[in-house]
Amino acid sequence: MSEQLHRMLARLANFESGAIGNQNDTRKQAPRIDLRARAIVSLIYLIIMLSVPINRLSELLIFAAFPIITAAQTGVRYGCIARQSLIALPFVAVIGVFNIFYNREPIFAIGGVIIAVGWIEFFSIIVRAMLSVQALLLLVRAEGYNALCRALRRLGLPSVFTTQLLMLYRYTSLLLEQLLSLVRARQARSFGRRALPVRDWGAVIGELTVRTVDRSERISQAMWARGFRGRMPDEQQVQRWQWRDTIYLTAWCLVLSVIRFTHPVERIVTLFNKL
Amino acid sequence: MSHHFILFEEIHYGYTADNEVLRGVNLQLEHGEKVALVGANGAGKSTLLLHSIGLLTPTRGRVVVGDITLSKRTVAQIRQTIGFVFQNADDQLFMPTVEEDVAFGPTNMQLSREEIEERVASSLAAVGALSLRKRSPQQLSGGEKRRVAIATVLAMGPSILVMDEPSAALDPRARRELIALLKDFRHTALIATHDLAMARELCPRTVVMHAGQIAADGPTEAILNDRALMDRCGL
Repeated sequence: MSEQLHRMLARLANFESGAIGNQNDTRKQAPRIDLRARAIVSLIYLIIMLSVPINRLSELLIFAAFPIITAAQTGVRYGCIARQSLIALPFVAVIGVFNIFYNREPIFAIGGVIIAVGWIEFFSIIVRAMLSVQALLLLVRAEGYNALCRALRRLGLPSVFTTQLLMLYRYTSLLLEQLLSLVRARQARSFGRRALPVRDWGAVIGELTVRTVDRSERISQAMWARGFRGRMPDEQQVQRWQWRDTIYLTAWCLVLSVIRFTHPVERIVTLFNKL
Repeated sequence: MSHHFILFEEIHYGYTADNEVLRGVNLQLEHGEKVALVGANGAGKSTLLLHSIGLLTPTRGRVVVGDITLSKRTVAQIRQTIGFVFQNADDQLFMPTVEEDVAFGPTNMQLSREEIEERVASSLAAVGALSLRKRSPQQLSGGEKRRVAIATVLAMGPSILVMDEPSAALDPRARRELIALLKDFRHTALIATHDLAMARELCPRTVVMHAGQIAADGPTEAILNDRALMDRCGL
């Protein structure tokens, strides 16, 4: 477990320093789209994609093009994003599985197997969730969580929210660090016993909270010592909105609207049936 | 009056009402002085240092920096004058990259972008860490973290450096490099340390704290050679 935690911490560090191996080089060479434009497009994508009726699974699948194309644009490996998005799968599956039991109305049959609407809805929920997570991961992966928060602030989100988001992110890495040190300390003296007895969970959670609060207080002191006044500074070079950002935004809005309202998959299927 | 001057006057402080950690500390630093603050664990060194930039407020007494008495109104001004290097560099480095961390202070000072960039580059160069600017602090070694932590305060252009255990947890080589670096600084400095050899190398004056009070104050050589004093103060 300590190795997994260590890897998670390293990934968090990599997210922000941009040290994502070769992906980073590709990203730097490509003309950068303003993160505000990316954020707006991602939001529009989520709204449009989630507005597809739940039983139209085929129509939903074409929306997978957005994360694939965005990944290619930003130089991030899509496979990596797809793999990371799987972390949400168990939670979504639990939510969606009830549709299988409640909605047993048959919709079509493959060979002798009758497929119920509930199954379509189940897969539809999973695809939506995966695509949503992928779109958000790509947004963060493009330039990092901090840059995203800065972009949101420049889009007019009150700084109290963006500061909270940034703090939440930092607090996550603090929590992981403290958890890592606790796990290592336990492993060093557990003599091969893997599971933590349930009776010790409370003590561990309490210790973790105390350690994390203590550490965050010291960090807070360091911040105040360097002139922090309750708002994270924005020292980065501010990228100006350019024509390519407008074109990017307009193009994606058009494409997504066309996909949503002209039902291209349905048309293609109808065309094939006619042939 | 010069701003390169700190006065702790009759400082009393306790984390709880019935346990005073500082019991009437009087200490004065003159312009350009490098003073080592030594004492056993729990003597009150770190607590005293935290008072210098208003992170703790004395229950009695006052702190004066230059001609400014520390108060809620003046604390921002004083934090620009005093650069505080914390004991644990991990606590000091909280931004995603070294560059952003060093820029944190100057940005809060609302300097121009050009000025911030210049300060980031010059302070990282001063500690020999310019090549680390794009790295994440989490990826640095202990010695590198310490250097960057010092750069973060140098970038604010402080007149006074206050350091809490700067050589703690450093390997011998990183420690030697740190001492060489600090020797070059011309800042007024107050350095809390257990590293008596470093105190001897860097600071002509040493103040010994014991049980929340100043037990001795004088030339470093004389203080460190006073075996009875050292024993009495747990050093």
